[in-house]
Amino acid sequence: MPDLLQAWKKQLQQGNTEPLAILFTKFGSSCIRSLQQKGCSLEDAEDILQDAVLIFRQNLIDSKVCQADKLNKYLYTICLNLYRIRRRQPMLEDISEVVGKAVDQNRSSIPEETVVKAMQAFRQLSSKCQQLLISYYDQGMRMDEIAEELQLANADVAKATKFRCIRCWIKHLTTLSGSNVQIEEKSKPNE
Amino acid sequence: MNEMDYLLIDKKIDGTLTPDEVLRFERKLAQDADFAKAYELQQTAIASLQLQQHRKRKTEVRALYESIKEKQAQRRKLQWYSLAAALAVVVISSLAYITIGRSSSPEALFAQYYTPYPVISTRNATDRSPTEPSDSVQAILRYAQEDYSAAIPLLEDLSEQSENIQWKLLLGNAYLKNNQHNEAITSFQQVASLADPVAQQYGRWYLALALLKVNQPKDAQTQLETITQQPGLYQTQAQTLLDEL
Repeated sequence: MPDLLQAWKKQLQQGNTEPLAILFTKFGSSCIRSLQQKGCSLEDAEDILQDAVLIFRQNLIDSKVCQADKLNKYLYTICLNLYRIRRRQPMLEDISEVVGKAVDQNRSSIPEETVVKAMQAFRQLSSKCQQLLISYYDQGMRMDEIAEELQLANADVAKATKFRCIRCWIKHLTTLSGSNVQIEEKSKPNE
Repeated sequence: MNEMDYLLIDKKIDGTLTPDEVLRFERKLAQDADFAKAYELQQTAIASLQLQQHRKRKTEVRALYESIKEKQAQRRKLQWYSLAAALAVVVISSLAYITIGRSSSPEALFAQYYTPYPVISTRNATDRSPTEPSDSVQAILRYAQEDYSAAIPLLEDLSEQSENIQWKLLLGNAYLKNNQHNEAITSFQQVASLADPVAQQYGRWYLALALLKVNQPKDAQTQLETITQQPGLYQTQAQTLLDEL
């Protein structure tokens, strides 16, 4: 991955949205114009662009963006695929899987009540646990990166901490959901 | 459910199961309802977290996009203001140029430089006139009183009867003030064509001004250029007027 994209990936993982701002500023107008030329309304085009930028972000974090010099085309292809999905037309090129994942997130089949409870249980975790789980499951960071970020001794310590955090989370969630899955007391995480 | 079961679920979700563990996982999933439920719960919890984070990011991205859009709109507005300001400068400059141009128009230059040929005294006129003193005095009085229509016939007689250039100059000025421009030009041309260099300079000066008055700046320029080439009363003034032309 080129240096620029590596730097962007790191920025995004740290919650810095500057790379996304660059995408909007440099390529946003041309993407919207192209979508409008295909018959898309301005409002829809703007919505598609925002989703496309989010997909770009995810692909970058997953190291699926390789060429820094063709970002305009890459972003536009995502936009076009999203537009085709909205119009129920077949998607283009091989990024359909990633686009599909993002669309799944948009049209998630998880009941809202479950999401609310899961997040309620999540908020009961320590801030360190919350940060670790977000870094791992959402931001796609490696254990060594998480260890460095959270100042843990090494990747193994981070991995063990993650295991304890998720056990704790599931325990809170089980309590909230009234699930009958038994959690052994001896494996209670030390937060 | 024991710790090993949770570890197995965790490794399954992370995609790090060994082939043996895969078999063990499949077996547990099929045989142990609690295990299956725990697996589903953990999967749902992680998916919920990802969905929540996605929603949060979507809100952030929307806000980011709106702020960029607003900034771009402001920048465009600023560009329009700059363009308007530039246009205003051009318009103001053009107006200023036109105004300055107008103040330097032949008509304006005439008004700026013209002073009627002066009358020193009636006595001076009578002394030099070979005709009846009363006519010359009357002509000069009328001229001095700016009663040019009354002065003109008297001055016409005097200039025909006398070779004194003063009468022709006074007559030319009276014509000019009376808006008889062609007659004025003819009178000044006659003076300018005399052999006397002083008379020539007076004639050319008033001729140039009369030509400016009738909006013939090129002809006026020719006369002025001739004046500047000879030393005399109007040499400096002619140069200044030429510069302004």
